[in-house]
Amino acid sequence: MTDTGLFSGIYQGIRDHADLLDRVLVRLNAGTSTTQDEDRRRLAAWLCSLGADQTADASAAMIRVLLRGQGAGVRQGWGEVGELLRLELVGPPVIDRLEELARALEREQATVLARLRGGA
Amino acid sequence: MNDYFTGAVLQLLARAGHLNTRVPRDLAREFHTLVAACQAEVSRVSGNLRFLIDEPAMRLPANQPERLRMLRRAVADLDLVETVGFAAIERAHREDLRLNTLMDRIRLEIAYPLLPPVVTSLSRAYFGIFPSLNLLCVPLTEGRFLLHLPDLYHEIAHPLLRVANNPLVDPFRAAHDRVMRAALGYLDEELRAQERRRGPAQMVHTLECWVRSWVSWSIEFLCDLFGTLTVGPAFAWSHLHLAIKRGGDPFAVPSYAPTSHPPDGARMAVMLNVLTRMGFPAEVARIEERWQSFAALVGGQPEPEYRRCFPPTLLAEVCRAAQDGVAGMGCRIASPSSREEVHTTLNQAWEEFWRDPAGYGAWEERAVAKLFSPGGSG
Repeated sequence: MTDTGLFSGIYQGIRDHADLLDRVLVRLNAGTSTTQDEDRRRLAAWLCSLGADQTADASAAMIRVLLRGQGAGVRQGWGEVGELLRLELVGPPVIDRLEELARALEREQATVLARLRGGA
Repeated sequence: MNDYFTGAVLQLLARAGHLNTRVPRDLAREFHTLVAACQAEVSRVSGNLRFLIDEPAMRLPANQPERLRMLRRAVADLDLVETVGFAAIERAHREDLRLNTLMDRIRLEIAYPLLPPVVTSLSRAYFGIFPSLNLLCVPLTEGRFLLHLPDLYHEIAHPLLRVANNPLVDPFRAAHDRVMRAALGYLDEELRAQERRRGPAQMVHTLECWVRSWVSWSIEFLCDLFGTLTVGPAFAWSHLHLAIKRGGDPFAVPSYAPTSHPPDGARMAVMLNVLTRMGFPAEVARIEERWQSFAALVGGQPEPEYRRCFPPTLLAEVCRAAQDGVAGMGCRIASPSSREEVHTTLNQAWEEFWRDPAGYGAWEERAVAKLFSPGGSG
């Protein structure tokens, strides 16, 4: 068996959350994001799962392990970011952290996509 | 860059629209679910693309990094549906129909909990599944031969770990969680022990590399064991066949960068463990003997690092989790008394291969003809 089934699944898991993160960032950067936005609520919940030691969220668990291969900054603190996202006002430090995570997810996606294209 | 995004996105939207016209009007019914999956994906990607040029916030300088990332993901997604999904649709072949009929028989024999994937013989590299399209690719002539077909059972396990909101597959996903917790728990303890011992820094990197590898290894082990549990000894024989033809050092563990698949030694160990529990001791002994011959030929030996990476207790937990997961989904577990036609044919193929390797081809030709005959039980 090739890597396609494996990496397709991993790619999809990262992509769905990368999409969500970028949609929320677009609105935060535009100043149009509110705590009532469904995407923002979903992202906050997912970030709390990403920061938890044990989580039932399989994609959060997978991405937490993948991020262990990146810098110390992206490995920790996501629970706090998730909680801050639940507050009305989200300041530049939180947006910067979210951008950091978006770039980290992009790096992981690129790695997985390279494997997928190479094996497909 | 606004002008670039506008032009590039409009091009991609045109490309996406054109893909929808590439469905042959006389396309066989077996491919209709693939068409639906591909068209749904095109629609999703097109929606994302329109967002990039229609949403006013997308023109803000602060949002250009997001815009670029979203564009790249849309390009990657459209690439996949064009080069894999629609390619399979446009080049649907009568050989594919045989394979799709076989897949349908397999899913009924094993009580597979989802709709089976569409099968295409367009693979450029062995068997591979694309869960997002529910499309399984096999090499061009695979429908004419039996010895690798057990790997179909491994491939159809992948979607079980990807589908969301379906309680039928929850036991298998729970098995995956259990395997990951066991592996990470073990390795985190090894990392703490390594730090207490103040051993070589490289070993810490290696242990972290193993941690990251388990994201993939856990999936591959579970798919191997789904195959073993549903088709029986033929799966382990097929794996030996693959390892001999295409594998590397069966006991090599990574030191620097994560790998996608566990070493073949570990994969075979879990398969044989589970086959023993399933009631196939004689077959396990025969497979083990052939496996040892192969390992000796390639000079493969389980070194201390391999043993540290895959302690027997961890592999045993992988086996228990897989058995619970497959049984929990209500799938038919293979046993010595299993008599379904596809199951029997695939296992008999290996019996015949070892009984008379030189004459096996003639037997296989007859067996394939019988398996795919219109009067077959499928």
